[in-house]
This record gives sequence, C-alpha cells and structure tokens, in this order.
Amino acid sequence: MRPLATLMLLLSGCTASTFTRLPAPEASRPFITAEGLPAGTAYDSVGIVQVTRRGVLVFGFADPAGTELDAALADLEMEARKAGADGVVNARVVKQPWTLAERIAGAVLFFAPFPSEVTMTGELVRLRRESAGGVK
Amino acid sequence: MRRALLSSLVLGLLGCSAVSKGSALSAVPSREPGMFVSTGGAPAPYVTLGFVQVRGYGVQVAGFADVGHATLDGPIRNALLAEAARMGGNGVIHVEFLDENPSTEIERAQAAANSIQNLASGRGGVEQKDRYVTVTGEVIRFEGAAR
Repeated sequence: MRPLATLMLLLSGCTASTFTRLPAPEASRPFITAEGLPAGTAYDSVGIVQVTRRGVLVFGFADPAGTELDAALADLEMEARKAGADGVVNARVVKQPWTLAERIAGAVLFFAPFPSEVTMTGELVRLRRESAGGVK
Repeated sequence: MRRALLSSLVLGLLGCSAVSKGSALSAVPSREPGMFVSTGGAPAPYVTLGFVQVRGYGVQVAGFADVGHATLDGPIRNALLAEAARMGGNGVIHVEFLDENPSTEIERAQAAANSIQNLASGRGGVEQKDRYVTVTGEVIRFEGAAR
C-alpha cells in the first residue's frame, strides 16, 4: 500500500493549482483587477467587500457547493453591480487548493468529504465621469 | 450526534456564500480632510512611517447578533486609524483585510435554530461563535500639503 501511495504522490507531484479566466471586457460589466487604478484616475470609493463561499468536495473532485475561483469571482461581480460600482480594485484571493494526490485520497475516502472554501476581497470603486473613459 | 453529522454534510453539500461589507474608503483625489485610507497606493508623494496590523475580535450570538469588533469597519475605523495617528501619519495605504470566519446564511440560520431548540428544551444555551477580522496597512505621511 505504501509504495502505491508514494507512486501516486510522485505521479501527481505536490503542487496544486487553480485558476479562473476573467470574462471578456464589456462596457456593462464591472471590471475586476488585482491592482489599483492608473495614476491620475479620479474615483470614489463605494466600500470594501469580501465574498466567501464554503462547502465540501465530494469524492475529492465534485464541488456541489461551488467553491472554485470562478464562483467567488461571479459573487464579487454581483456585489459590485448591487453597489452600483464600476469595478473592484486591489482584489485578493484566499484559497487552499487540494493537490491531486489529496483529491485522489478524497475519492478513496469518500465517506469523509473535504472542506473547501474560497474568499475574494476588494475595494468597490466608482469612476468619476471625467476619467471614466480612460480606464475600461 | 447522527443528526448533527447529517446536517453538517447537507450544509456542506449545499454550500453557501457569505458577504462582508465595509464602508467607503477615501476618494482620489481626496474629497475631505483627515486620514487618507486606501487599498491601493497614494495619489501624492509620501514618506512611509511603518506598518500596522490590527485584529478585531467579536462574538456572534445565536447566528445573527454580532458583538464586538469583528466587522470590516470596526478595526479599520477604530484601531487602524488610531494607530496611524499615533505614529504621526495622515494616511494608511495598501490596506488589506480578511474576515477570517464569516458565517454563511445557512450557518446563521442553523445557529439560530439550534439556539431556539436549546432554550426550548432547557439543555444548553445560545450558540456563540468567535469572530476575527484582520486588517493590515502601510502608514504614511504625505509630503507637504499634497494629497
């Protein structure tokens, strides 16, 4: 059993990665960036926001609760829309991804679902009209 | 015991999202005098005085009542700005914040239901949950009057 576990680890490596693609920019869609606005851009802060999604991974891979980055990104975008913001700046992500080996172990130990959580934070901003054209 | 495990599993499968909000920080250019606060950089030349981190602690009672400073606004408006002023700064930039354990709507409802059930049955009391919010930032002083 031990050689099998070692082989599994070697094959899968110990790096876990997760990613999400931002949708194509649209004028009607709030922008989300991990940076601030370009120097000289005038804006008003609408507030700060944090969205957290929490659930479990079933069989190591199934994510019925939607705790991946794209779900958090969608929540953040929705909060920006609700607040009437043009976008979110200085966005940060907190997520502990499971490695492939851990996910395989989760599939074997199906009776013990893994906890899964993703958090995104950011500052909601509204561009002042005189600079709005230059940013989007 | 079995019911608690089952409800935890159902909650995990359903999942849910929690949203924590805080009030507006400073505009750029700043509209009002006083401390400049931003998650980004400074709009004018400045000198860095140091860094500050505050951790707000609070308790959530019965899933809904939040007592203490475990909100996003509490640590920023109170401790963070007070520390910055004490250091001689007039701004805090690159503010980062994290509500460490926000409750989802389902978790709040479950805590409220458990509290009512406990009180009604006379066993146990109101459910309480420790809450923590951490905020960090770079304390600065603007050079001259420029903001």
